[in-house]
Amino acid sequence: MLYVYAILKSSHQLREDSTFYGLKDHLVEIIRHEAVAAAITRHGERSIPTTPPNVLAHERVVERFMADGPVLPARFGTCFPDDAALLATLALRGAELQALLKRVSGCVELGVRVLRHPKQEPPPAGAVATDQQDVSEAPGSGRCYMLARLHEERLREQRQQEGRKLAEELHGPLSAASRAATCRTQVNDELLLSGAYLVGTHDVEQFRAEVQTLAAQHPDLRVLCTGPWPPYHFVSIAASPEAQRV
Amino acid sequence: MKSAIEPQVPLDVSGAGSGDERSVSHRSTEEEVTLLELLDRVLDKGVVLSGDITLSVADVDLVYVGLRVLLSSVETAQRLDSAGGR
Repeated sequence: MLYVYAILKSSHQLREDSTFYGLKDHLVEIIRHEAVAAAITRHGERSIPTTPPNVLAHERVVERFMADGPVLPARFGTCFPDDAALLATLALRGAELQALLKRVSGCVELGVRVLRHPKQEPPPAGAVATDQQDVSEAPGSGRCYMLARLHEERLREQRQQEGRKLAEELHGPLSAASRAATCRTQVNDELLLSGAYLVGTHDVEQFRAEVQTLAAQHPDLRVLCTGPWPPYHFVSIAASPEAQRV
Repeated sequence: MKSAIEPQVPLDVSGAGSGDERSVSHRSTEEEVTLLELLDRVLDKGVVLSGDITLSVADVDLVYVGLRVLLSSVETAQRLDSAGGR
């Protein structure tokens, strides 16, 4: 079985030692078909367990290639039964893969997560309509309980609306500072924004400065910038009917 | 190029909790964020070729659970280490 780490240009050259190892210390090979190539290791077993060491090994191989040219990182667990099957796919998908390699050439991916601090100040009095007076008048009653729940729900909705607005305010400038962007907003009560940004390698510091500026404008939030990552979020191709999750 | 996975601490640009005075919980949160970012990418993104993705959803869940356990252990170890060093 062939385990695939990444798609590369056939002309991809490693500057340093070209001999290195991937999952289970197996030698990494490059299988070429015309303009595109795949970085692989060969394994006797039919699948690779999803374990933290294996995930890290996968990432290390991808980053090793990324250091010397554009790569399309493969999703963890991408396997082919033999060389012929892989070569057939490279032939079939060659044009798409070449276009993607061109798209991500000279770019890296940066991640930005914006989190609320776990403990936030409560909203100012009067910001949300409440029935506190009613609640205090009938403690322990069913009406009291329902009013309290209604109040909680209103607070939650208000917090979510504020979160979405904040996330959009943050994502806009970051998106403008990148070549491509994708994000999820208000993922949960704490995580307001989880964004991925395709940034030119020479623009990384400028992008981080932009993140820093936004963070300074929102001292009540925690803004975390990770990367540079391989461009995992920007390499999707049309789904194959054979690709499956088990 | 600097690796995204080493060191495993993201750039905290919020200013909160930066510097040596950062608490153990902040360090742990930052490391956790980087590891989650890594897992989110490697396990859920990336190019899908017409091969088989031999990825068990149950295994993926276990990796995330394992990550939580690992980070909790690290935090506990750091706290104990810090207490012992005083």
